[in-house]
Amino acid sequence: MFATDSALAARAKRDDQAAYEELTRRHFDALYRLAYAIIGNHVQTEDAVQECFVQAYMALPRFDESQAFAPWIKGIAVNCARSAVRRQKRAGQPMRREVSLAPAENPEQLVAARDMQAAVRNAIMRLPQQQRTAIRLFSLEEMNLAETARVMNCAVGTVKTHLHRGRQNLRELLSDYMEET
Amino acid sequence: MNCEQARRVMQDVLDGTQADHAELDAHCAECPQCRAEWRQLQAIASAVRADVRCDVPGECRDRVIAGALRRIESRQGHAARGTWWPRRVATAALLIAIFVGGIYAGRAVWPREVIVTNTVKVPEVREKIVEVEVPVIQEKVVIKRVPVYKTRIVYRDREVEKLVPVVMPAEAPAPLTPDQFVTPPETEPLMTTVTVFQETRPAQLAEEVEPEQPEPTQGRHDSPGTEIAQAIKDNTTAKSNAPAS
Repeated sequence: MFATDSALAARAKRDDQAAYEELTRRHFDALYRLAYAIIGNHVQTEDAVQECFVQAYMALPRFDESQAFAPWIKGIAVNCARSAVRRQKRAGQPMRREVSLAPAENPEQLVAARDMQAAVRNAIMRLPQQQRTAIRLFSLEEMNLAETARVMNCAVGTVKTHLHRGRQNLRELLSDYMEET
Repeated sequence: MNCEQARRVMQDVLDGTQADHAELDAHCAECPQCRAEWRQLQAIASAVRADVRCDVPGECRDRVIAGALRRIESRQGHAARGTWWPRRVATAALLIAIFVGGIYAGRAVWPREVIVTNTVKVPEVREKIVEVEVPVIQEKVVIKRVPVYKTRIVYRDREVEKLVPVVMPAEAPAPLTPDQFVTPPETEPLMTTVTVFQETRPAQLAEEVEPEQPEPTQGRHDSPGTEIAQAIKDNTTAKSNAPAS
């Protein structure tokens, strides 16, 4: 029998670890992609997701079961991912984003795509944190404006503003590259 | 559609709040500036999507979840150990309660301070009360001197009061045996009051206690009732000498 997230969360609140494990398995992929969108490399993302699961379990007593579980735990994942980025910056180690490229028809296209992606990644890193987070979260397949707003714990209008300003900033930052291409 | 409207539509389409962009395309076909901007925005969006896209490595799922559950168990252990003090406080409170309760129970079972009060009634003597203060020590129980009708011994502790009646036979008034009294633990002998109620027939009792040879009562232990007899005689004499009203 399929148990809803709320039912599993209620059981997990009563220290039912099997229920909590089921919850983590259900949301692992989405949380992983979310954290990866912010962090950009798999090693740090694994640590952030694990930290997210631990923090979420500890925060379960405060979780309101009348609300959806997914946005709640995604919000925790975003915070964990941001903390990972901050720790890396504080340690003086720039976050190295791994390259994941779409299949290219020929080497020239692959090089061009790699260059474009590297340029975009550098430009995104120079954005203010809220714009950066909004753009990356919204670019995930499963995210829309409302979901992004819930995860960022702000209004939809605020997310739209971050997205609009972020895009304009990226255009400016990438203007040289854009003119070349 | 002007350029301002076109830019607004570009954002709405990218935000996913507007699907129809035919008018925007028509405007871009005529406006090279908006066309370039629209192309750049689409390219950036596509590049960001590619940048955030990732295939979740399947092998890491079990590892991450198992690690998280291990850490949760460890934290729960720490948390449980972190709450040692309520249990220790409860244990200490229980021990204190047992200790204090033991003290009170011990006092109830083994009185530390004993007061012995003897009330002696002498029958058939009227309107005369003799009060004698005697030390409650086994060898010097003055109660031997008077006819004992009823003796009541009261053991009184600070918290507990116990009544242990000792009824002596009226016809054979035997002196109290030493084991009927409790020697107080203090070295100083406790003083108590022996109240003697004399109710009826003073003359008869006076004869019984040697009215012919009154002797000093102090220190005499073998002539019960001597004090009472003397007191009764005094009382009778005082009454007979009193002026008639």
